Amino acid sequence: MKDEQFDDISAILKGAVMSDITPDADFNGQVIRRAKLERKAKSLEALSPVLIGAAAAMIGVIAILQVISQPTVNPAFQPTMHEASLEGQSHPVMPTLSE
Amino acid sequence: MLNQNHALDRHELLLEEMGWVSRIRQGDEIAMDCVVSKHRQRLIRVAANILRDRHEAEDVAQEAFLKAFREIAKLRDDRAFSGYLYRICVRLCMDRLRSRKATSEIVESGDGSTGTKIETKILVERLLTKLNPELRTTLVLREMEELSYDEVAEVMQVPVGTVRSRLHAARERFRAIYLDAVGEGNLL
Repeated sequence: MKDEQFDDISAILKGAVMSDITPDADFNGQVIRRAKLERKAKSLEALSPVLIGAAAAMIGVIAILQVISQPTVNPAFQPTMHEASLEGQSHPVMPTLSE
Repeated sequence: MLNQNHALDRHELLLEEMGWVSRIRQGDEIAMDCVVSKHRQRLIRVAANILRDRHEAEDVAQEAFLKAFREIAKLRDDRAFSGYLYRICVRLCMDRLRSRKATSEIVESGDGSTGTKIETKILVERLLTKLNPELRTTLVLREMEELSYDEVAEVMQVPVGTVRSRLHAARERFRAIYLDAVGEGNLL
């Protein structure tokens, strides 16, 4: 079938064209604002692995600093096994109920 | 001479748009504003004719601009920007049509009169919902937007032969449901 055989349909459809459309006054502004937001979100998204890496490194550094800053005990000043057992005996014995 | 001037104008407009496109890649908002101003009317009109809803059409047009700006890096040839934008818009409209709930609305038979222009518009709107998104979009692009077969094929990204067969099927179907709605003998 040729196009002319559908002239009736064409006329009906052309008569129903929505041509008188006025876009919202802030249409451009809305598009640009949304585009800007998307761009920002995208750049943050791109930054997130870097931020995660930095946070992990920071935690590592803090942990190392904590270990380093703990006071070290000189083993020379540590009580020997014998001293420790003597120290245990010197404690007063608590009376039991049966006594 | 007139044709030469027209071709020159077109060339200049194309160059201007290419400049805007490359500036948009750098995030230039003024260039975005220029592109939106240039294409918004056409985009909203196409979307409105396909969707038959002004507000949804504006929404889709905004989405189309955003998607085009977002994926502008994928565009190999800056000269093809307007076609690219138009294609995105039509595709978004088709997605919306597909996601719309299938209405079980039955077109009531008319009383024998074709009615006023507004009534015809409303009737056409109701009848277009009876066509599937592919047929409807093809019909609207060809009959309302007056695109050539090649342009419809390019926008819908299908071969020209497919456009022809879809258009034929759409016209046949539309005629049948129109006659069913208004009664035989009331075709214009």
